[in-house]
Amino acid sequence: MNLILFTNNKGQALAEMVLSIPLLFLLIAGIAQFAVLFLCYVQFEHACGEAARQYTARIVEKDSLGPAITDNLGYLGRYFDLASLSVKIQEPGGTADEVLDNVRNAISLIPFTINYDGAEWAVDINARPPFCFRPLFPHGIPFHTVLQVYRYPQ
Amino acid sequence: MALKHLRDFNHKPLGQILLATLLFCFVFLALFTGLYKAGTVYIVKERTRRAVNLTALTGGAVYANGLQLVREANAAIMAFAYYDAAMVARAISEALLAPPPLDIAAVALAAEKADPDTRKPAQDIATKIFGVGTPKGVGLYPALIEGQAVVTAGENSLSKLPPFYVYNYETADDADVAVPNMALRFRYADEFLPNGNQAPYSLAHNGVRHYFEADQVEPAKNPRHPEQMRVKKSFDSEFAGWWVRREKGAEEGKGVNGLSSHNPFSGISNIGLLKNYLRQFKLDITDRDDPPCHTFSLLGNMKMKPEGEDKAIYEVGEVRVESDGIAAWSKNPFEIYLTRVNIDAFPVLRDSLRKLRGIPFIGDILKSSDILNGI
Repeated sequence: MNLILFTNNKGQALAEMVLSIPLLFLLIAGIAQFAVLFLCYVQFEHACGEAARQYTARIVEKDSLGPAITDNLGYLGRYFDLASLSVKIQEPGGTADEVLDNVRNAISLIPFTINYDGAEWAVDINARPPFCFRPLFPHGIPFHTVLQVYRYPQ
Repeated sequence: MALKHLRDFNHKPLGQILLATLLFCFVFLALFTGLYKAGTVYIVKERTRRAVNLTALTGGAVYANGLQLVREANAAIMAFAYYDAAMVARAISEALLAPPPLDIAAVALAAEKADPDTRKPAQDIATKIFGVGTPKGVGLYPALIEGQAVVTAGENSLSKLPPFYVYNYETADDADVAVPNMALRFRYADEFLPNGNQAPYSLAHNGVRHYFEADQVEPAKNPRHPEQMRVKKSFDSEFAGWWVRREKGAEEGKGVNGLSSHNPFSGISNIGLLKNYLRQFKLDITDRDDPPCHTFSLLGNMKMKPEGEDKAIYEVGEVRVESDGIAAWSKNPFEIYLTRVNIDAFPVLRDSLRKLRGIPFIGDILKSSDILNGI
């Protein structure tokens, strides 16, 4: 009886279907989750930009950008390891920035002349990959960005 | 021969499975590749948009700081101007007290001679620092705006060359938009006298006031200033699209019957002579335009290599700097906010777009489509 079952050609299409459908769904899910990953990255960049804009509007301060970024991640926040969020204020990066910083400091020796200020932030966070990509990135996917803005008044 | 073998193989179940698997893999590979490319471009676009906005906000912050410095400089200039005015007033009073008949020319001459013009050194220094009357020369402070914007653009990963920085483009003349400036000029004493014009709306550019009737203006569609009017975009004028201000006494939709009753100088018949005379007294720094236009815009780009070759994603950002003025007595803080770029306000595009709008078919397309911001 068992031999008849394995030698009969009638069940071939069904067996192929049973084998291929999970694979097909896995690929479709992979594509969808791949898209979610990109969406997360875009949302991260957007959240950083919005937080910086809130800084210029004096809603948040230079050293409290983190909570603003978390808020701006919105419903996609669940794809991030929020505890891994790190916002560091950086020193001027390039020579031009240093030179300009010196110029600004020199001018500000004259009282009431320079009343604008800002910062450069390096923002890092780990994204939690959806289940298809979890075996590939067991520790999460690190996202990194750098942003700088100045605001008036200081 | 080889093809025949391949055809025979494809007729067998194993061949068909292999073919189907290959096709399947190809389709999904294409999907993944497309998604990866689109996603990468989308990320770069978002980063560019963010970088452009932050750079524009930075430029706006430095710009606003500059305008505050102009206020402080104006306080110094006006202090000198008050001293000069006191000297002139003393000379005039001596001339007026002279025995009759009153010689107006002698009074005017006495005033002219008595003006010590102690404000001139302060005005000269302000010209150098703020670039008053640009494009004659770039001021030190506008150079700082440009420098700070360039550095911030670099720190935000925008390409160094270009971005293009554009200053007060809505009211600038042609190529002047690219010269770092703060849209400033000196005010002259005659500007304190009102004009005799009776039109309800006006704007001033480079010290010359232009008047518009009620049917020549339309709402400016600015969410921050819902009452703001502008010259109709379809109006055949070099000021089409520029903001206007309502004259005092003008009633909405009624023209300005009776405006002259609000003008205390309307009774003076030869006010033109008086204005011409006062024109020689240069005073403090003021806005080049009224209503003021202080905008800082940039066209930035970020490079990417989607297929090994350099491609650039472009974005435009603009901020507007607003307050109640830059006179020494203005106190309100400056507001800096991002605006949607009005691309057809660029001087180089303005004339050509006006002509295009005149063509019925193209005009309709421009109005109904999203191209050029759906103008």
